[in-house]
Amino acid sequence: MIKRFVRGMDERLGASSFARQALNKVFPDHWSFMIGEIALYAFVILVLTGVFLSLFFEGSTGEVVYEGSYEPLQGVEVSRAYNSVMELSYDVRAGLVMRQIHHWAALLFIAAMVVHLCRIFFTGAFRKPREINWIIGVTLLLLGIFNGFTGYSLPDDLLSGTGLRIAHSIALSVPLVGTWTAFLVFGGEFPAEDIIGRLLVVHIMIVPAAIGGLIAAHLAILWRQKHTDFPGPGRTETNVVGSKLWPTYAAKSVSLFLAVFAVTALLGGLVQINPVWLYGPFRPEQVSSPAQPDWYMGWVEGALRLMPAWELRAFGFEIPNPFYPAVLLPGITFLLLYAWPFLEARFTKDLEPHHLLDRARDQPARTALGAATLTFYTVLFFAASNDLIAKLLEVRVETVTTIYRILVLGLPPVVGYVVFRLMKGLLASGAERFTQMPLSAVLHPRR
Amino acid sequence: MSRRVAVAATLVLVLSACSNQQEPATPFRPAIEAGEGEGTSGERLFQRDCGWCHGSEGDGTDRGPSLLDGTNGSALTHFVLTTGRMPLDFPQQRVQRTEPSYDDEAIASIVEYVDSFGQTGPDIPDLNLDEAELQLGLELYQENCAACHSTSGAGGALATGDETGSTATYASEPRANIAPEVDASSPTEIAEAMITGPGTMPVFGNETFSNEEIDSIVRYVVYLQHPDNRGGAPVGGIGPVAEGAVAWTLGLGLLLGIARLLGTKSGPP
Repeated sequence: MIKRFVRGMDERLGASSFARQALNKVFPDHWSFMIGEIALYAFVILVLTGVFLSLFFEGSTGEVVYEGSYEPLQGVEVSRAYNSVMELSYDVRAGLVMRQIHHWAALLFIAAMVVHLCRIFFTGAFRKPREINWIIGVTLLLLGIFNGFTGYSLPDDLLSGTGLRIAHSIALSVPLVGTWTAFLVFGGEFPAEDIIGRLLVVHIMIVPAAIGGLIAAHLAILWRQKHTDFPGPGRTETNVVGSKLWPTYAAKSVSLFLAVFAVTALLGGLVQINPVWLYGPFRPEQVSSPAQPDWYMGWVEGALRLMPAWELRAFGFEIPNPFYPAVLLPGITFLLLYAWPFLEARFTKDLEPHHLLDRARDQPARTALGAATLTFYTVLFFAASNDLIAKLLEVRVETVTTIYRILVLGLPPVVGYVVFRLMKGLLASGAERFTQMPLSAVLHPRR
Repeated sequence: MSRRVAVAATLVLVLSACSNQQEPATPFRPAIEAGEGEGTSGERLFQRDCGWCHGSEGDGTDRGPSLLDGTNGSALTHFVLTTGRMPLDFPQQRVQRTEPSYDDEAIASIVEYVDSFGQTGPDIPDLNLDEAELQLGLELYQENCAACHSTSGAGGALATGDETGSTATYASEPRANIAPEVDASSPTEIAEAMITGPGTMPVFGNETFSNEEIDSIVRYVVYLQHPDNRGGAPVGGIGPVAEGAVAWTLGLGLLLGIARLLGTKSGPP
């Protein structure tokens, strides 16, 4: 009977030839092609746990008396948003573990996207004809970071409220439109009543839908254009060597999904994340220290902390200090990311389509530039924890900040130069691995 | 082999030289052994261990401040002795919590002797924690303490501000300014710190809080030492920085390792 049903469906939809073709699609074997999949599966887990959380979360700043089982807050007036997160954490069965899995999966989602982006960048997989997928990928990263921040802001605890206040100040710092934008988005003076409800709509509907749609487009284009592959025996510009989707690659991919599920569940169950009961409810007159954003906003936070207190007046307008590190820098960052495939094509005058990947050494200049850029953002990232480092090392915060200011400008060129020489040497010596490369190849690359 | 030993020996020498650099070549005064003060009078202990800097009458020297300027009272004397902040081995040493040098009895007799100088600072407070309200404590802690000591009580670093305000030798070196973690303080020590304001901490005395409010803050800090914490290992109570480190190393590290295994187990290329 099942056979007859399947045949009947096929006669009407003609799906079997498509399915046969799809199941025979070849995926390259190299492990680094699976990094993007880690992000994909983290997103799946985010959606699953997010649906559970949305059944209990209340996106409202209306006041309510907390009556749950966390003793220090019993009888305290808190917002409905904070109240519902506290209920999720202490009184809803499996609520806390779902919250924690959701949060860990968010951190992993963006981390995997960043590593995936690095893989694409350093192997030149963004070159023609894959510029569109690069642009979609960068947009996914941007949306991921944005949705991470909105999620971080929802519980209305003291830490997230501090984050929202910083976001509010950043919005205010934009010349001309800043004040209007801040009022429009927040719905009034900070802390406005509308913001939590609006963030919720953005966080659980608009951005996830956009991410889902873009992931579908990302995969469809990948499917259509076929995978890139590393050069090697039997690998040419016109073929893909590897395993078929069914059964080999399906088994690998399902295993990876289960692994992502296992790791997020393990972290969610064993390692505490965002203990909002200790942070306490948000009150505009209170602040906590140390106060950091989640890691993916660390580079912006670090830039805010390192920026000297310069203020500029232009055309009769004051440009407030946060504008440079928190609006201009991220703006330039993503603009350059979006434009990179076209910039590189213009600089190298290489307008040909490429399906075989570069190894990092094949393009020493690109690799060096990428390494220097990563160094810049990594230093900014670590600068976001200047107070924690100062406490750990028992030195003055100002000393740490000064050292980071020097590092953020000084270290990238050094790293870039060293990487450039290493790549040149590796290429010239013809060695397969770093460990096999003679030192003389780095010191005298021309010989 | 012998070369390795030589390298290791050099390393040890260099490192120990570096770590010794902080302290003066000759000790400021004989080192104090723990428990040495048992059964001795407060006067003897003070003159032997404290008078070097604070003066034999408690009126201060160029190595240490006067105890008669109004801030010192039995509360502060008791606080610095029970938390091991005093006595220092040399005046420039960092003032921080260590093992106390004396037992309770000796501390009580030193406190009593210092009191006889005629100091006017606050006395050791009487606490009534049984009736203290945890909820009020949370609210007041968040408002007054969390900005420096952190909502979790993990402490934090502070901006140094003007460190050249004092010309006295004992305070002239720029130091890290740290609000310490609150996990080791006894209820009395917490209250003493509040009403005396040691180091850069402001005074939160009876001009600011009623006794009931002080009790409730103390109760909440004591609660923070063993909170009703859920969700697994609390990675330091310092929030997103530690969480990010875990996500990258344990989380993504593990997943990349698994991806790598899945990728290389696929047979010959």
